[in-house]
Amino acid sequence: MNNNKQDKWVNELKQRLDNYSESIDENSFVLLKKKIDEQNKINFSNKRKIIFWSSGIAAIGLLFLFLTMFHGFLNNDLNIQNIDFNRSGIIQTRRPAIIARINPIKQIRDMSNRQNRMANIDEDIINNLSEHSSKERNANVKEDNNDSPRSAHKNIANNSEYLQGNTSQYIEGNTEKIYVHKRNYSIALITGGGAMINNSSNLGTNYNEMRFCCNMLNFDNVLYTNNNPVYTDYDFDYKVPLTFGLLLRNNISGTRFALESGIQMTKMSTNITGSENRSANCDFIYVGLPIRFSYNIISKPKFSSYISLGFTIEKCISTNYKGEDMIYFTNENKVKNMSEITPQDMPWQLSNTLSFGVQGRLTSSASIFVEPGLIYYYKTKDSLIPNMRKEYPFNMNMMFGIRFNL
Amino acid sequence: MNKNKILEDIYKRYAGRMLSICKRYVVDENLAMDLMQDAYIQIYKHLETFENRGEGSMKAWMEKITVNTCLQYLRKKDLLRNSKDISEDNYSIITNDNIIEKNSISILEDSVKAIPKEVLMHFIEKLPTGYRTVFNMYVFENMSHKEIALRLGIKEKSSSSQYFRAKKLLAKMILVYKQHNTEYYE
Repeated sequence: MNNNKQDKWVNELKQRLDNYSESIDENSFVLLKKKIDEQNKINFSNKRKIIFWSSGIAAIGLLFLFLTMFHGFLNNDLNIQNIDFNRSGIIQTRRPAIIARINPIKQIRDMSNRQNRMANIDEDIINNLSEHSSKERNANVKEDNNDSPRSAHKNIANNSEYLQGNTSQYIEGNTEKIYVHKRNYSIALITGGGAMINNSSNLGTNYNEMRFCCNMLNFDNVLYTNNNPVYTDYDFDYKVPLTFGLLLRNNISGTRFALESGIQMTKMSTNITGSENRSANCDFIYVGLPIRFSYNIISKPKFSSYISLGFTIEKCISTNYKGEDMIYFTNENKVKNMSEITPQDMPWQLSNTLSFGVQGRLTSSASIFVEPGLIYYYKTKDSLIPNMRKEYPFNMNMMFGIRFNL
Repeated sequence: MNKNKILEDIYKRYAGRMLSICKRYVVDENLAMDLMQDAYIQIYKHLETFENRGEGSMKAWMEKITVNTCLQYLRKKDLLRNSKDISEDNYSIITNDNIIEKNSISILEDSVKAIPKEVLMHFIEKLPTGYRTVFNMYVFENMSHKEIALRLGIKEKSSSSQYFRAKKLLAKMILVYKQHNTEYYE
């Protein structure tokens, strides 16, 4: 009790008014019910909006997947599709090249002979191709302005014809698969930021929109729970989290699938505004380990697209609190200071990602890519400062970067 | 039990009490009603998170939410800073008369016991916004001046001086009321 002995009359006043209650109009509950119903409707339409968008994106992704699978199935007997040539004439491909001529009459063969012969064929093709393309290049040294699309196209066309000629020479009348040299690994430098699907609502004000988050959310942090800290009278203004990463990608042989993993760093920043214009800023740096599976939907020499599904585990490694001391009240009415936060207070963060990537080739060994996607952050135990991932677990993000073939 | 049914039940049981809390912070009756409904919306939203810790815990939890709602409103509208508090001169005129004397403190206690609750509430409502808020937080919410200062963004000294002044003004109102209504008491 705060009051001292001199304030006995104040104590008396408190006791008298402690259980004082006003009379309430019976119809007032109807008004309250209306208000709640209205809010529920808004929340429902918000959820419906999110479901609509995510199902739309998922449907487009699936459509792409099925179309390309269907397309790939129809073209299984293709001759040199998906074989790509770099300047030196070495064949490179993202998936096994299928070189075949179908002749059902001669399909049955002695397996051991065939295997031996195929090994020779494989070597011969690559040797011939290398010789051929180096001769071609020497002959057209002036014309071949390396990066000119016309010359590149010509080069590919010539090599294709040559390859067709050679392969028919060796394996005419057979159905065979020849796996040629390909680059299985690539390394990517990525960066990007999060976008936000904001559906917070507040006393008397509703924010119902989908937008990229680089502005103030005006999230009033009234967390009235029994186990969590009770924040009051603060505005938490979440900035766009920025991510940088280094990812190694392995194209799984014989399939369109790829496995990608690496390391990524994310910087999250929160501006906290208290009453009387008191302010502070808190930065968190997370280190994460992403693991993603990709499926190559379209694979063209200059362009490819893929979908990725994966998860990331992240841990905060650094916190930086600048500004005036801000406190919050725990449920036991204890005062705690937000500046006391340490990386140990921040829990491990798990998330799932679904993204759609588009990649364009710059040179024979470098490509740029853009990956818009969706992220879901799993619930974690509460931290001292509420973070964006907890308040907005379902987010959009946009990553882009450069990928080098190894 | 249905969430709506629980809401109806707690509304019937505690709405009057919650309205009185709101009226202690904001004078306007319609506004107090709106704030009370906003507090009930928050209660409804977070009903699942409530953990029963024995008798009275529900009421205490609801009161906390109501107080937070009121304080948030005052902060948003910047009413604490913009309220026209009594100037130093007027304050002296009001309080520096012979009504409040040292021996009147004992009279105050008896008076508070005798004065109807509605009148006491009216006295609190009459206080300037800043005084009233600090007085409510200190007396009814049992907050220290340090906590009040942090939550309202004012200095600790300012909180204690506002509380002191609120107390003095209230004392004056009670004593004046007693003087004019002596016959009523007797």
